[in-house]
Amino acid sequence: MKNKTLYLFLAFVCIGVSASAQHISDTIVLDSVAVCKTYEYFNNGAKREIIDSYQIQQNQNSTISTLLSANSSLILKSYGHSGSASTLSLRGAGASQTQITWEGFPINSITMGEMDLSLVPTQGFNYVAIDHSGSSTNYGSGTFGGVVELRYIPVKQNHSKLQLGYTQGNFGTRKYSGAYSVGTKKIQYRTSLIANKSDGNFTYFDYIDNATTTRNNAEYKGFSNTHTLFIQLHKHIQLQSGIWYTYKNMSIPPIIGSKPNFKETQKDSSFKAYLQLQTYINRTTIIYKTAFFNDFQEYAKTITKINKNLTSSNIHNTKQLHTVKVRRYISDKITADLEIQGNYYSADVSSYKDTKQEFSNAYIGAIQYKIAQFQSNISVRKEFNSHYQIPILYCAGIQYNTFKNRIIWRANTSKKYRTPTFNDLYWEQWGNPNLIPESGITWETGSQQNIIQTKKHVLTTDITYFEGYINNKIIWIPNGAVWNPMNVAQAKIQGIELRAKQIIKLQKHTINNNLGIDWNNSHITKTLESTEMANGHQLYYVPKYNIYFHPQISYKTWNISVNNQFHSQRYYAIHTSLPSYYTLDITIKHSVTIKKCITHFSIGIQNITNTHYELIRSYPIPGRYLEFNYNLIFN
Amino acid sequence: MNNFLLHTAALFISTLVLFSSCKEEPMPQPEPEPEPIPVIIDSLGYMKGIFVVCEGNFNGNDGSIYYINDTIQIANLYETANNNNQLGDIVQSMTIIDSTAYIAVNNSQKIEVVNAKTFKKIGTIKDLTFPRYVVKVSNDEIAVSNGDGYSNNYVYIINTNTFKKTDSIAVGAGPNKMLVNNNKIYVANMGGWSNDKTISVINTSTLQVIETIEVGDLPADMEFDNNGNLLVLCYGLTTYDQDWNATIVSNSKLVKVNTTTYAVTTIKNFDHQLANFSANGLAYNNGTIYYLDDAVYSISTTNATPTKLIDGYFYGIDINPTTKDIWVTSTSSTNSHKAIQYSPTGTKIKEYVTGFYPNAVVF
Repeated sequence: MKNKTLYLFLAFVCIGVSASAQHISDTIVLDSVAVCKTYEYFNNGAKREIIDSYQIQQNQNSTISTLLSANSSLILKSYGHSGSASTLSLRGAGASQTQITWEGFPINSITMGEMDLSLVPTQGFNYVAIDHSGSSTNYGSGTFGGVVELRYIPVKQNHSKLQLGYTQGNFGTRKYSGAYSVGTKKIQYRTSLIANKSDGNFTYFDYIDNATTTRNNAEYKGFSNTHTLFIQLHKHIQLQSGIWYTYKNMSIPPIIGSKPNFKETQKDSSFKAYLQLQTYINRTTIIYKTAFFNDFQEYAKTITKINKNLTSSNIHNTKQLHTVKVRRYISDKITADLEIQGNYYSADVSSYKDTKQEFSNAYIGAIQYKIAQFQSNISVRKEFNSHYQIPILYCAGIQYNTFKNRIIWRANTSKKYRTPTFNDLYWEQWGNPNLIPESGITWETGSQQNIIQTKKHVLTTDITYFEGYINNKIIWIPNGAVWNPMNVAQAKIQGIELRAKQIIKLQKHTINNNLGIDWNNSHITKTLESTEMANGHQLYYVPKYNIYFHPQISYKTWNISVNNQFHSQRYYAIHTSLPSYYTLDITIKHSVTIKKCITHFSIGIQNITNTHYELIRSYPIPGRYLEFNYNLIFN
Repeated sequence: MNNFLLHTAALFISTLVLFSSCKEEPMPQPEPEPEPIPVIIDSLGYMKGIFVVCEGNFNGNDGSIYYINDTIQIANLYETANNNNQLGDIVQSMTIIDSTAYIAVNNSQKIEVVNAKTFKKIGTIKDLTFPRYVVKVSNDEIAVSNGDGYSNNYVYIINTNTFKKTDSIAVGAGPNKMLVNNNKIYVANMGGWSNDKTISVINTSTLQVIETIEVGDLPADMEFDNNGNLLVLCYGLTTYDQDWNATIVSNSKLVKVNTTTYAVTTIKNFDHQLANFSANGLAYNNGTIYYLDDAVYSISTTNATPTKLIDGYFYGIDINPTTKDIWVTSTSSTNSHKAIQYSPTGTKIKEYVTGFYPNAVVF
């Protein structure tokens, strides 16, 4: 009776369009008894979410920020429409404390500490995972909030697949994409290409001028190309390599209320390449990985009328990353990892006195104990850095399955750090070369409840509590006319995350429901002065409450999904805040299959209620936005 | 099922307790209560008190005017008086002319005009690119300094009835502070994003530049002394090559300009560049000059040996013409910016937490 009541309630809130099952698409929590893949670290006790490949495919023409924005634990900050710089942070820790990795390599900027997600198209990946614990032991610097992993997992079977895509949307938005994947069991190759542009000329309400106006100077165009090659050289030897190039040219629009006589532009280009060699000998996997990243950015501010350059800056970063990892399957229960990392970073920035470099070597040891109902791991890391003393870091986690895996308990703790960015250290006149890394501890505990697990009905809930301290937090402080970054504060990240996921398979319909409720109490705990007004204050741009509800219904070749999101107020200064806001998106999809050709059509309306809101103070986000997508797949 | 749920709750709560923090936490700051709309019944209205000009955070669109009188303080007077409408980005200055206040909002490229008694909005002066300061020219004209140093370096004459430009007078780079005396407008060309070392003198009848006076690099602030001479504080210039190697071209200096002959006399040559870079680092009262460096210093026009009066780094300094109290603005904290009242001898009287980056106090 109780199950029926629950079913009726959940069915009531979904859109009533008749459909039958086509595909179950969902964001799922990793099955706790699944084998830990060689590219994954031991992370027992940590909340880990893997974005379903179907969701990734549905967002092939978008960026990672669009894909992840449906997950409310991610705090997204964007300067406007697509193409605008956007960053995300997990658990309120900040964008520089949320690491983005590509094939296991950190791609956050060494000058800013953040990753601009507008430079990350979804097209190049088929595996996106969020590690909410993201220990520094495994990932290195800047993981207090967690880690987002991006990968392409080769499809190890005979196949040949061509995908073509076209998107047309408001504000002059056009996206053209293509991907080709071919392979056998021993060789797989995939390439993807996406070119996009937008005028960004959306209408918004200017609350300074008290008038509705149109965004100007917001054009952008971008291009991204990826290649991935996988070769099974031998029964026990695999080679994998990848190349990723991105280019973006954008105009930076003025803030609300401003009509300046100058124009700002920015060009970004990024080249990334990696090579991985993996071998398996006698219960031991050995992986050697190396990567090279080369990033450029040019910024210019020009007086429009006289075409005079007011100011400009150039940034050139390189990273060289090397890893050797040995995983030994000691027994059926015990697995051990040993890893050595060697990294080199350099930055040549026009606002630095000269080229800056940093070297580091890290040694990681980890051991996992796993039986049917219980698993635990301990990891230890010692890093030697050319500039800092990094203490020994550790990570420990446990996971316990009870009631025949109906309830999974987990707990995890880790010691973390974040090195200052190059801008913090070397920005001419204002940088502080005496900064020390931020450091601290995070821990989380949670439980997943598999309430219903039948062929026709799956209901899973999850609750997580997390907490942590960031000591020696770096904040820029005014000192007369000059600003300097200093290690002056301590911040606490704290919150509760609730999740509920449901799949119902009816005769002709499949219903998916995702519900998430977050409470985040991350705040400053200490600053230089005990009377400082910031003490106890919520961290800027961190909402106290996030709620999302994402129902979907599929019927035969049709799918309708709805995305409801609510974010509570966010402070951007001590007494001033951005108001709470609610957005509603709807997407209708239809697929047609003719022999080996599948055609997907979809129409999406974002922000149906035309809500006026900002993610960053003074930068409006578009109101109602309509987008049409057309994708062809040839198998 | 009931046992299942009971065990679920019990195990979760015990794990939560095990991992919860035991550290003492400071009590979170209570949410500030909303500002009550004050009832001003005096005929002077808000003009009875004083105003603190708060620039706000750059690109934060949170510039404000903070109001203080004997009985109340209002954190954001413009918003309070105008249905929560916001001023804009970087409030550079406020000038009261005949019961009308002109608020120059630099990065929103406009001047908001309000009734100084009620602070209700009267209108907006637009078609500006970099407005800085306002002075009275005649009963229905004001002058606005505008210019970033590279372009649009003008003093605009604005009709106060139509709020439209009636003239544009080309001056030096980055026209900033202005003073009016004896039918002349003195314009400090502070350089903007470029640099300059001159004062432009404009005849208010002809609206022509009649003199350009070279005083020193980056003339920032000016005052008239008791004899009608113009005191100018110049911050000095540092240049950088492409490798950011600094060259100090000149140190700060304080000069006096004879407004009849335009002769320039140096009062003090500093052996360094002053720590303050704002356009409000100079004040004058009855023979005593005050300036901001790593403290508030005072010197006289006849004795250039400075006396340290108030220790600390400040952003702006003004003297209450009635009480002679010294008012300074402080931006040393990341979250609490203040206007601080001192007696003429440098004894602290009271401090007020204002909006961000208070740069001046208007009486």
